[in-house]
Amino acid sequence: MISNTNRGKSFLGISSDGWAAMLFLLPSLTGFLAFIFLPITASLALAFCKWDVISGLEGIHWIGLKNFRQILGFIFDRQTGELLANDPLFWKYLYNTLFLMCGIPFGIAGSLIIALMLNSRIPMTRVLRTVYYLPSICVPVAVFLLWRWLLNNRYGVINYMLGFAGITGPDWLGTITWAKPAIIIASFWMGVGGGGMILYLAGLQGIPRELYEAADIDGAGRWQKFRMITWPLLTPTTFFIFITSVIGGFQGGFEAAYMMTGGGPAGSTMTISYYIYQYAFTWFRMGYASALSWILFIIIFVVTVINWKYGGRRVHYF
Amino acid sequence: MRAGRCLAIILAYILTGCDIRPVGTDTEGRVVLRSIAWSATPKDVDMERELVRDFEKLHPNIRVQFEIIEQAYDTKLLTSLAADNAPDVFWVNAQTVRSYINRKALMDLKPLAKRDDLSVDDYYPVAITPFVVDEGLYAVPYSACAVGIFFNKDMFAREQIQEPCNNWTWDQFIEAARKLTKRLDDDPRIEQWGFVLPGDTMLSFPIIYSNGGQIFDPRNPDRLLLTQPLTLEGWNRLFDLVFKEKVAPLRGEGGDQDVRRGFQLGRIAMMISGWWDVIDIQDYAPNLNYGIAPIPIIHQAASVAYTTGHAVWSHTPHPSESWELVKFMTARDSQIRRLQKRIAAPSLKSVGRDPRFHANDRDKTLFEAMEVAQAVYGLNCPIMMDEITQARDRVLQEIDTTAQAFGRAEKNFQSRTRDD
Repeated sequence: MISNTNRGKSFLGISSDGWAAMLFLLPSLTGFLAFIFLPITASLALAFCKWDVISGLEGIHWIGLKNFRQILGFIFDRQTGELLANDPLFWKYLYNTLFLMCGIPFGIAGSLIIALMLNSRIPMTRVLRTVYYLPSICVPVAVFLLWRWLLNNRYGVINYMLGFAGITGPDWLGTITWAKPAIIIASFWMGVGGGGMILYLAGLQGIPRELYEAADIDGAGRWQKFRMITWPLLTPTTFFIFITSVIGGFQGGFEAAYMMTGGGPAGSTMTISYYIYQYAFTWFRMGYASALSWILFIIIFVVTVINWKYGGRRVHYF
Repeated sequence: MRAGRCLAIILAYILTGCDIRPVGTDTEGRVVLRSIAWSATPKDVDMERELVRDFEKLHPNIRVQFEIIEQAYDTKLLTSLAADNAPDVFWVNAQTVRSYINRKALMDLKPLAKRDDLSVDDYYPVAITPFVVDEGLYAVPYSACAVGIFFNKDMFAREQIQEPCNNWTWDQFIEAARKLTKRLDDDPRIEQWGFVLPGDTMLSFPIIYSNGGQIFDPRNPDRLLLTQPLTLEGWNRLFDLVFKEKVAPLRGEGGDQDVRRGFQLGRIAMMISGWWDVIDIQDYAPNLNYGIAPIPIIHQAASVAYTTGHAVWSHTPHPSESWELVKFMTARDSQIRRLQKRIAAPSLKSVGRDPRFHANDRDKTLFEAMEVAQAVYGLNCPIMMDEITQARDRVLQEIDTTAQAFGRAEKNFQSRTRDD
């Protein structure tokens, strides 16, 4: 225990150790305040304002809840008897975002399979680890541009290969049916060997060998060992990957859509984050974009709380 | 007021993450101007740098920091304006310029133009109109380009089709497209199309204009006229090329790059495009035997113009020097130099109409199209383009009829721009 005498003289009621601690915290704290806390606070305030950015502070006009009403509100059309959204694009793009998140379970499964493979005693494991990790350190813009050409319905390699099997490949990026699956495939390729795989590898290497040895003595097969030992002990890792993937899924989709489809066709690959970007930087409506960002934050927050509450029960710790 | 301004700068800085660098004079006492342009080909960049060097020679008291913005030009310009650190001189195009004018980000150049006897009468009206608001002149166009039908001469010759003449009609166009559309026998997967719908929605507008339709009210560019009968009929003519005539593929093959490569590879016989593809073909498919014809006439000759101009930041500390740079970069001599090096089409009538520059039939067609071209602009032009593109896609994806899709686009546009 540190005695009081070691703490030195106090100034303004704070001991010299306290001042030293603050000094060490200062660089990080300054960065946090300047680049995280202030922008978040500013965006919260702007969500209740109309601001076109260029006009400076004089151009900010308080409009209360108008942005939120416009985004989330509905009106009843007496002529058609329909309930119409004030901003139908928001709901459409939210649906697109959720649809693109359907790739998350595939991504998690893929990461687990690759991690299991790389954790087994196969030759050239180190080279393979690097190879699988490569896509996630590539520049997303370049990767998605490459996929745009691979998926091109007329000149693309994928449809060309499908042609050998007698399959006429679809117009991947040109039809609303296939554009979203195409983006899921490209994102899967890019993410499957990335952070998830690394976390699973670490998780696998953290499982004590004794458990497998005991299972061997009991005569357990490979599937039983996976089901009864590996999978339960990987649930904390799976849970973490799932939570972060869901958060990333809500925030993501921008780069893939921007490079591969430009949000089309008919807005079928536009996501909420792309919509926020457009409102802020293409249409100069920073207030509306801020309101959209806060709604997205609330959605993510609620979904994450639900995930913690219900998903956390299935997690086993060793 | 001063505190407010400081706060605005800090807020914009925090939100946009821009660097703030003071620019004024260099160590030799010369005025330093910052000028930015968007990404172009290396040849374009060399030309612009060469012009900047010549300007500096002519004005030894001014040094120009010329930068090319490779990606997200408008985003970077916007953030620099928000941070009160915009370049003194920058490029603007007709589609986005009104947003900047409306927000008082651009300097009115009219008084300086008047002082120096710079007449705007020599500019094609379609080139200058987007930059003029309430008698003020907010940018000077250095380049303007109308569009036409690019056609593959070899494919026309192979099918024994007469090449398009200057007043060819829509029926002749469809007839040619029908003959040029076929599935190649040796490889059933590769098709040859007579035409392709452009990826850039604006390139479809000439067909609407030729049909007598309008996209927006020319007296009020923020009032859309998408549901007028002639406008809808014009769109239907385009969609018929895909669904009824089957002479164009269902679009969505990855954008303009695919259209361009398809044309250069001889798989697409005709496409709508402009000067930028003349440059692209000369760089990437120099042996392609192609011609340029006017947009086929339905009821009237028509085209659209893409215009780029130089604007001056309204808060520039060096308005006179900035104006000198704008004047030089947009001057007749500079435009001729760009044209002679095949970099950009001119915005000046006296250059475009000069027979010396009509030796090339393709250039001549594009210059002549400037006389009938319309400009696309407006305060909310980017939102308008977004809604029209979505409407076009909804029809092509067979989600909506033309009337439903464009009716919805007009309604959405009104709703989204109600407060402006």
